Amino acid sequence: MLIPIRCFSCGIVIADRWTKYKKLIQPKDEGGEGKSIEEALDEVKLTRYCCRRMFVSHVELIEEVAPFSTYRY
Amino acid sequence: MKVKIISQDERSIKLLLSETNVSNVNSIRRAIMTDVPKMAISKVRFEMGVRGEDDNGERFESMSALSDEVIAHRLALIPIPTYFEDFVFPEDDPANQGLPEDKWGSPASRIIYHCSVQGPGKNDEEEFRTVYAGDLNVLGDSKLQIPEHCREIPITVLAKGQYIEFYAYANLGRGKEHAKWAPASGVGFYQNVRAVLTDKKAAKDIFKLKIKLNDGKVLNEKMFGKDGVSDIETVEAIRKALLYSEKNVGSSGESGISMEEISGEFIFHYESDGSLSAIDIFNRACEELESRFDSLGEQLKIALS
Repeated sequence: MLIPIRCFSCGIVIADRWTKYKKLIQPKDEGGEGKSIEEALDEVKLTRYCCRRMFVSHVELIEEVAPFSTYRY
Repeated sequence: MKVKIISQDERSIKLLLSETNVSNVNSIRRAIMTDVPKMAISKVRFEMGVRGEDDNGERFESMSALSDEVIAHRLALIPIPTYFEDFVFPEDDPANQGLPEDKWGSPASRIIYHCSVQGPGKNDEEEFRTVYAGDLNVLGDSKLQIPEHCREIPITVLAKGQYIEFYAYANLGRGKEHAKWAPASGVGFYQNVRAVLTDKKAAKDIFKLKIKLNDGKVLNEKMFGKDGVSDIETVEAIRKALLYSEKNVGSSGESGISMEEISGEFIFHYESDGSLSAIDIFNRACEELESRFDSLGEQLKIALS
């Protein structure tokens, strides 16, 4: 749904790097930096593989779900 | 025990502990994970309801895609700056004595954060608004504001017609109670080793590969000398180089280079979550252990008398 705040395995705070990571992997023609996932993970200093899999395996679904919980009036 | 800092950056640290043994080092590791206190949000009060019509005739409802429990859990995991001299544990706070737990709440033992964010309006271009940890405002001293590097932590996303408002209360706790009170992560240690050239003939194959180490030097026979290589960073680089070239490590098999353990020396490393500095965490862990063993001695005296 939304990126977990900490790594499930080691417990380091990872969510603070998510916005930067998204920008790094976004293609250049969409306003990002067009880097590979590996380069982006290294740049946001996620060194352990437990933290790296948190980013690699995350699917951001919150914007799909958010509109369905609104306007009861 | 002697402690030397090998490397340190903003949050992570690597230490060399010498003249010690595995039990002592492991007790520090466990103390860091479970006994060093830090601040974390442990209670959240959400303001529920509907905000009346604004100038555009629009209403906002206190809803979000994430449930309150999930938001409260996310808030709990945000690192909160910790000052031991300014705060006490809620159970040690004199103002809380004799009161039931739900009435506790003196400024000596808790920090209050307030957050109020409104989602986009009907006519706004943006569809969603993300609520970040930086939107939390501390009610009190500004040094207790969420640390700079944590302000970009997303808490929830608001769609059109949604708002969120809450008060979050942080207090001191220990990691053994909940992981949100653990100040460091990735806490570990390993025995310090020195790289020794055990078989010059066999090692020739690996020297031929001209493996570059971290500092740009090429792995060669000369660097080993009589006693082998004991510089920690170089040993680490040699170990990695050997792994990359798919040779045996830790035995004098194919590579001709072996890793000899240095007794009583350990490399200790961990990463602070940002609520305390890495050095403060280590010092506090030592203090916690000291106080515990002090009281153990007293208890033993009483038991044996």
